[in-house]
Amino acid sequence: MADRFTALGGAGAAGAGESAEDVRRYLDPKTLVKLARLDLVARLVVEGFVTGMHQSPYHGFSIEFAEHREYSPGDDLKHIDWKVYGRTDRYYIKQYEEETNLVAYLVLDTSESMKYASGEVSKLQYGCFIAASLAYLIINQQDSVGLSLFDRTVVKQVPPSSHASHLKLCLHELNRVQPGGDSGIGDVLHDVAERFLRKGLVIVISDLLGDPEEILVGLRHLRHRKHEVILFHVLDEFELAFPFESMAKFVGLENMGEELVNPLSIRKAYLEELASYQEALKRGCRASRIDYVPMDTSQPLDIALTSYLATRQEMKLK
Amino acid sequence: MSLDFLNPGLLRFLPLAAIPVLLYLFNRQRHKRVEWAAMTFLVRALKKNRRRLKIENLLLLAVRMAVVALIVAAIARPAITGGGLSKALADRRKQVVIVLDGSLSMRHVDDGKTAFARAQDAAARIVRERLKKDDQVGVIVVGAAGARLVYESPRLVDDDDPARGLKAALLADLKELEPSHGPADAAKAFQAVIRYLPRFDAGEAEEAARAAAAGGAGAEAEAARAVAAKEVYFITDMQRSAFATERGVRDSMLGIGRDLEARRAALTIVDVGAEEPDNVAVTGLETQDEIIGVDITFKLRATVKSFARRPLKNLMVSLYVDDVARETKPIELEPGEEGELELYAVAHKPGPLKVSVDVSSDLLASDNRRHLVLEAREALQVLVVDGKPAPDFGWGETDYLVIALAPGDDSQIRRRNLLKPTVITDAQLDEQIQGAELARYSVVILANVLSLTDTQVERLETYVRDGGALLFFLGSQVDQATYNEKLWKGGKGLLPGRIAGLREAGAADRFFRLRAEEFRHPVLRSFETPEDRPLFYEPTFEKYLALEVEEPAPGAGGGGAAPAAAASAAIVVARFERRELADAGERPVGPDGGRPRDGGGGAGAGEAGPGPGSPSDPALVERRFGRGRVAVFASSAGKDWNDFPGRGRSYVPFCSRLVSYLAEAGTARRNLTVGEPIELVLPAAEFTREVLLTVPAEDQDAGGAQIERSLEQISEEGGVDRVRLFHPETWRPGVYEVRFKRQGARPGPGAAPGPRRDRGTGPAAETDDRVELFGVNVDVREESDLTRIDPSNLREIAPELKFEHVRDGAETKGAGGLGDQPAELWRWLLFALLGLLVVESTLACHFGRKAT
Repeated sequence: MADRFTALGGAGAAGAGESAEDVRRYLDPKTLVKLARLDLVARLVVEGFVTGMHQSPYHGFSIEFAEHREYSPGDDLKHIDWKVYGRTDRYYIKQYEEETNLVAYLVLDTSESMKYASGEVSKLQYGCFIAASLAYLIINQQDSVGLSLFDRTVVKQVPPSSHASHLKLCLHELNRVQPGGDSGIGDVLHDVAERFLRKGLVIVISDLLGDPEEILVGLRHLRHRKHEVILFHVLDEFELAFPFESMAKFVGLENMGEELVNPLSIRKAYLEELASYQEALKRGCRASRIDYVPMDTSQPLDIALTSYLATRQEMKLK
Repeated sequence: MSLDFLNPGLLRFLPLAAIPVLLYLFNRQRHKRVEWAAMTFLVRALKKNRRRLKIENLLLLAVRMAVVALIVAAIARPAITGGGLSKALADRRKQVVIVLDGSLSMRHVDDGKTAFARAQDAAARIVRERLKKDDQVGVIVVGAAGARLVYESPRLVDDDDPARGLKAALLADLKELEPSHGPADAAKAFQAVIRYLPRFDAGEAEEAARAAAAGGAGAEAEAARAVAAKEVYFITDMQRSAFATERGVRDSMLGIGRDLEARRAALTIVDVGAEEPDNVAVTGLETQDEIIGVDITFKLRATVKSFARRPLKNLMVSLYVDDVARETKPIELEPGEEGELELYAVAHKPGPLKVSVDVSSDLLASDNRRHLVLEAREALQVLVVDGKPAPDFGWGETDYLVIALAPGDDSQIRRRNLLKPTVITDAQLDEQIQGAELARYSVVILANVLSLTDTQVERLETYVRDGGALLFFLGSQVDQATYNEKLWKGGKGLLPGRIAGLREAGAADRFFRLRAEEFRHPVLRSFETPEDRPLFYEPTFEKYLALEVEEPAPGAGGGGAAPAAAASAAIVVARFERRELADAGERPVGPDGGRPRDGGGGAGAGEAGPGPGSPSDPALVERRFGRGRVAVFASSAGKDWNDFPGRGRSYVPFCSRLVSYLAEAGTARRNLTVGEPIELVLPAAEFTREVLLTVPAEDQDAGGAQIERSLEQISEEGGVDRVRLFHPETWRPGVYEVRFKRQGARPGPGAAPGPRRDRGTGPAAETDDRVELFGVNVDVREESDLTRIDPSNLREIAPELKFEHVRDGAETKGAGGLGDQPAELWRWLLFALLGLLVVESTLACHFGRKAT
């Protein structure tokens, strides 16, 4: 396991030292699933991720001073208030008033198909990890985050807020989440496009098992509303590789019927179908300038955070 | 064209081909259940590929079923018969051995044809239809003389046309073959085949070498022949005795099957025998003596046995004397019964006499006639040496003996008696044994002779070795030490036993009497019937000289090893047993019954005779010596030591039979079985080296063929130069005639040519050609019983022997026939199987049915 995580650390983690590598182990979903509390998960993921970065993402994007906060490793030294240090003998960072406060909407699919897990981590759990980690990061960046859970329709909506206590609310909801009924992502995207009035960043986390055309139409709707969109396409590794060998009866979740199949005989065709589906999505997303991020439930979570930060950076530059 | 299976029973396993289907269904049943989210992709993939998957599944199942079916079919050994395909598939070069059963039983006629003729036809069919160009063939005939190779090395078929080349020659040679008159052992046939098979490969190697030297396709031809199929056809009438004895399969058959299999030879037994062959045979023809008197009627005993399954009535048995029918008698036989007939004949001239008995013919003619060659003489000269002559009748040692041999003046008795005794004293012995004088006598009797000089012993030894007969009567005058030294010679001399001392009965009420070892011995035949036996026990003996004899019989009581060869081993004909007077006149008892207790030792110099539990001393012992025979009677010929001559009514028949029996000793074996050699030894000086041998014709009623044979010079210890006729090829039954020409003899005007001359004065008395006859008969013990062995029975008793049984005449009915041998397909099926396995593997990989 240690080897695997070391490898996952990649070139970015090479210079971070032993402790950084150890922390990055906590980005692995198999480790995270053993933790009962989602706040711990989010914290571990984000702190681990941040430790591996050269620059702290926490300094925010505001320019007017608002308050102090205690220094944490990775903060730029230029923001240390030396006067306060002189008075109190402690390092405090000067925080600035938000100039353009970002609103991020986490839209998490909780349909029945999300409960599939070939190993220890289901797609829903993995989605929750992503959502929790992003919420933690976003709140820590002084941005606002909202949460929407849906299956056929939106089943839970937490309005966006940047208060630190808001994170608890979000995590609480994520902790309670249970796989629901059939998925209706196309309609849901239209629905949320109408609901999210303030322009922001919409982060959709779903296995996207539906009509790709409908999904793309929904996504375009969000884009039409001037939202930036990140689409995390979460699939299980078995769904991606279809590694079954013996005769099996596949019982479809979400009332998709059942099929008795010799997997060896159909694997190739299955993978072709999957690839063409992914390709269609990717192409549609690219056309609508949507960030399409395919996720495998066996992958570490830093990909999700990186994608978010990249998009956030782009938005800042705009 | 028809398809048959050599192991059709195995086809019932064909449903095993359904195993792949069952496995498929079973696998479908034991699937695992997977809850699946990405069903959309799966359903869509299935929808698009359902038809293709179905076809692939069916194709794979079909291939897998075909694999199982092919395995079953190959084990069942399919073979196609007829049609071009059969020929094309069977078109391998063959090495074929055709073995014909040439035993006597193959002469059995069924449906107007002998079994051997049918065997020839079957062999011809094999040659015509089975052999192809470049095949090799060998032909073996098995008969009385063993296995005969018609071709020393296998022949190469050079043309497919039966009218040309080797096939034509083969067919001609097959027609020339004849069955023998003796038994054939199937094992010998197979052993001959096993020895012959390597010659094919030896021939191949030579041919390949020649082809290679010629520069060309030698190696190719050799490679092609390396896989040549070896086929052995044994064409037989399936007579049981050829394969098995009463106990079961012949020992010689063991291992044959393994050897044939090791040589990869496929054996086909072609059955040409009749379905239910019946037979009757003359199984025996004999007289009491082989030497008979001229004009004296003698009795013949003929036995006829039925090998039929039904009672035989109105069989006529005919007697022929010198080829002239003399008597015909009817006989009726139940199945398996052996009947006996008494026939009477008379010889009118001295010389060899042909007698034959014929039973009215059935379908196997060869064993219907049996021949017997006898010798008729006017007199048999007997030299009697009286060791203790006396002036008054009755007190001389040989007075009674001479009377017994040539009884009285009664003309009737005299006329019927052949024996002509000449009595001399031991002092006259030297004269009588000078030169060729001794040879005049058929038997020399030494009665109570004191001793013999070295010269006398030497001459007597020569006389006996050349075929003479010597009879000792012992007695009071016999010098035991000299006898042992000169005549016994530690077992190498004339006397059959060592004299171990005098035995006396002792008290007046004790005596010895005779006890027969076996009444079937020719000397005791006169006492064979229970009514006559008391006569044999009548005489009482007071004294005798104990003889220590080295008997050939192994086991109980045998006093030490018997170093002498069986031919010269002593035979005890009768023994003495001790009795008391109270027993006298009793009914005869068995050999071991009534033996008296030891009376407390004998008087005088002698010891007591055999006591309880001790072995009896021999009374009459005989032994072959050279070509002659010696006998010794351990008591006296006169009344000195016994009342045998005076009281015993058995004295006359006993002495007469004993001397007659001994007289035959020097005569050659005239009655032989097919295959036994004719052997005759004569003095070299008397005859030219060339003899004329007349061999009976194949048809016993036709005249024989004459061939000239040379005599072989032999020299023996102490004997004059001799010539020997040795003719081993007595393969035909019948009478063989040998004509010897005398040195420088010219038949005078009054001399009657031919064999019928009086030789009553002895074998050397002739001045003209000498004719000897030899009767050769078929061996009826094995060959006359035509009982067949069932193929399944043969398989049971000889499970190692793998063979295919083909009934002759079935060849036109398709499978299993000779004319069109089925072409086996199993090799092709195995190739197909291999191909299918490759296809299955490839398809499974291609269709993604195999895990990678």
